[in-house]
Amino acid sequence: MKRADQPQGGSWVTQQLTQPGVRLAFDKERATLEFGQQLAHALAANGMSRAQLARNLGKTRAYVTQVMRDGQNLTIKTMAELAGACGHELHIKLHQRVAEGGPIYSESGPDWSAIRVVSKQTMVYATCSREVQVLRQWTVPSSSPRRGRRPSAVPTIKALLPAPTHLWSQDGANEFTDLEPYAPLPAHEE
Amino acid sequence: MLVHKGRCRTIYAYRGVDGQAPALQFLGSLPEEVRARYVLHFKDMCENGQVGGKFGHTLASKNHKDCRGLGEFKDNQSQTRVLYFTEGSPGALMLSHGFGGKKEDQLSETEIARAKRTRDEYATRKPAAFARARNALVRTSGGRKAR
Repeated sequence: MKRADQPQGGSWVTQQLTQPGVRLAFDKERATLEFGQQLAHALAANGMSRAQLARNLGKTRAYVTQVMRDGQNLTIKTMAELAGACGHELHIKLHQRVAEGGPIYSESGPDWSAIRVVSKQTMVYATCSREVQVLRQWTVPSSSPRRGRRPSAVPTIKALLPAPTHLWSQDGANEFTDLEPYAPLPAHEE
Repeated sequence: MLVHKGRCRTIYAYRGVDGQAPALQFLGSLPEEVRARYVLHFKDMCENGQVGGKFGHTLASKNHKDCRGLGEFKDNQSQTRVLYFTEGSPGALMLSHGFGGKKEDQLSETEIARAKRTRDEYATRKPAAFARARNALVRTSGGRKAR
């Protein structure tokens, strides 16, 4: 049943994106956010700190802090400098505008809402990347040093995530399977 | 009311007994730039399952053990926050209300208490709403109840 005050287009976000002013601001904010996230990921991937980035740029740390602050309106040349200083290239690509706003760049991270504990020795968590949702399954070996007793240091999911290569994977390889879709949510309208 | 539905999460806005949605009323009163940032964060949360630490976090902590299930979206540039609570269904969030004039990380007890009241109110009304929805489904399926 569609109510009179239900946002047109199905959701409040869709309705907002139909307004030209909001849409323009949204596009600007998204570009800023995506560049910041990609730069942060490039730094992390290369194991670089902001201080090292400043040294590579020949600038001060304060400058790097300033340009990486939220909402900074960087020039393309500055963005290319930052990308180059952490060993990356800047490519700008235009996409056709879509009504629903299009995807937002995000590094695949754990989706904490989809954590499933299969057994005491198998912890499963889901990661959501832009293209596909995958399910990773890590298995802690059953042969504990102290057989029949709980291992002294049971790893938590959060502790395991930063360094997944330290884990024992099932059958010697990581298993990626399609994540089951969420069950349809009940209607909240009254 | 549906705010956004993505692959990972679905965000709703709580509508009270009077039919008003305080969170959407607050968001509607914000300037376009700020609204666009909230749209971005809502989409990010729904599509990718999370937002950056600068743009939102959960409220449960050592000092607020009873805030389990509560969280906030925040926009530091406009010093505004929108609180939410987990609805109970997988991946579903319910926006409680929003407020401005807040820059520090520490939230006032008043706002937290208001979000808790909204959550309790929703929990009270939810069974009746589900029953009405179920009855509507039974009526549309010709009165046959699923076994």
